[in-house]
Amino acid sequence: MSSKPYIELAYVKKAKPKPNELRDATVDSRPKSFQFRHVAQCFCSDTNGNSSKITCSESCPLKSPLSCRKAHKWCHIAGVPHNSEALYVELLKTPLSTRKYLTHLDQIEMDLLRTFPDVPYFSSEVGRESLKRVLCAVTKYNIKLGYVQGMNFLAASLLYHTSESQTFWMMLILLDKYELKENFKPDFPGLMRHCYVVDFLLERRLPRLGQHFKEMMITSPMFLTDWCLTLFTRQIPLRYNYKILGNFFKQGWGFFYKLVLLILRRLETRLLAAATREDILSIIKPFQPGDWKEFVKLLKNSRLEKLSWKKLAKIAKNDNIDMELVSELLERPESALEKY
Amino acid sequence: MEVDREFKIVTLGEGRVGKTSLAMRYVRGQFNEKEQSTTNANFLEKNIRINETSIKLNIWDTAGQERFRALAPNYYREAKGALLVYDITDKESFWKVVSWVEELKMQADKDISFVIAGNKCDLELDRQIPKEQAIAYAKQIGAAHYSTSAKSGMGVNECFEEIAKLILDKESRSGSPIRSSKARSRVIVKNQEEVVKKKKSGGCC
Repeated sequence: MSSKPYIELAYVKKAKPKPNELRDATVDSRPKSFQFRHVAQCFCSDTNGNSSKITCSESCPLKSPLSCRKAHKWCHIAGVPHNSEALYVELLKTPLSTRKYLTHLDQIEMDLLRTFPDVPYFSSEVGRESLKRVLCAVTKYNIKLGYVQGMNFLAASLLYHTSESQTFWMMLILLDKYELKENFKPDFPGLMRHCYVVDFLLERRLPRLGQHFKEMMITSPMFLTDWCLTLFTRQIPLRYNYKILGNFFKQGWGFFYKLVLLILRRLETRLLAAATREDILSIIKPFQPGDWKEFVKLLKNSRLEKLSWKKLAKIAKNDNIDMELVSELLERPESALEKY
Repeated sequence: MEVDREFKIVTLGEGRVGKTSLAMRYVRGQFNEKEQSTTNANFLEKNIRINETSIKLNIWDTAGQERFRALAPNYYREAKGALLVYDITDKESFWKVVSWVEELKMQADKDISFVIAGNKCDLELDRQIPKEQAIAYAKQIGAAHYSTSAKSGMGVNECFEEIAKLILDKESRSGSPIRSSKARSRVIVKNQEEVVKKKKSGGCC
């Protein structure tokens, strides 16, 4: 891996970009120094491109002109440290050429072109390089875990709203504190646990559907794997998936389960009417990202209902599930089952 | 239209060889140069007609990264056919096909039919795997080999249809067609039906 350019870029002066520069972030003609500290691509900032209306004090060291307001909030909730850049830059500087790392690097490079290719920012060299640096740093930090497909969509969705170093930190925090690491380990132990919880909740909350799935031999990993590994970021269009991420930062896996249940509940009638396993899967697993626009229509309770991912996230957020039970199910499945 | 048979087939191969692109080209007739990477598995279906038999192909398109191999048995377990894809410009991806064949022989349905697809044939100049070598290997394991290009569409229909034919052949030889009771009574209007003509020219070797 050629780590040299990163070093040079990392030490450029920390010039604060002017607001009008912020809006033109995809323009490649900007000086290289700025490319390293690229700006969020989202449309969350105010018209001047500033994130100035943040409620925390002016001196908040996290407040970066490179992140939008939402991402700034996420950083606070997740607990991104104030000196987030130091470790990130350090890791980028660290050369690593073990066989294991190089294999991961190959996979990362392979996936760069295949991460939100329809989004102009990620089809540009600048965006891809940023994403690559973040994924490389995350991989170096967690070399034992390595890079696993799915991380690319998560990192890109964060990077869309914030700076590289903050994305890097949020990835670390998601992997550790929110236990996403378990999802990506060999044999996917975390995924299996989440499937177990979803199965349990399904049986309690939507018993007819649970039974139907059993009869049709639909196991939850069939539809949960993508959702769980990417926190819906691969499926839901990039411009809307921030709602999911924001709520996940706030409520953790509880929000994830609530959203899954909400989707299943709204699809229940259709799914119960589906006569084969394949029909069920084609309803529940739209194939291409574009199909997910149609998918939202399927989730409407009535034809007139106005529904968006934003609204769905809000409904899910305010839903109630017994988190005590859920956390017990996650930690001690046997004793939880006895108890309830 | 009534469906006589339903076959489950699975696409396997290393990452980025074009499994999703092949499936998409076949089922939807589309090619997207910028396909997203697959996590876990996608599911697609297509109705075809071979001779007088109408068949519904349930295609499970799997993820290529090694880590996801642990989940693959869920998808190939009941599969009757496997499309093993390699990229003609990537030597490693061919060896991955070989390792998949080994695994399927041990773990999958013993009657599973294989078809090997050497994809990205539009990049002939960058070819790293000699066609003869691939064909010889396919012959050795009793599989058909097709040169495909999801980009141009070359060999795509042929390779999927070949799987269906192989499965049909195997069934008629063993004399026990798997006739799905669910399939018999179902009316399919979703996918357009395609009548498969007798072997088309090109593609197969």
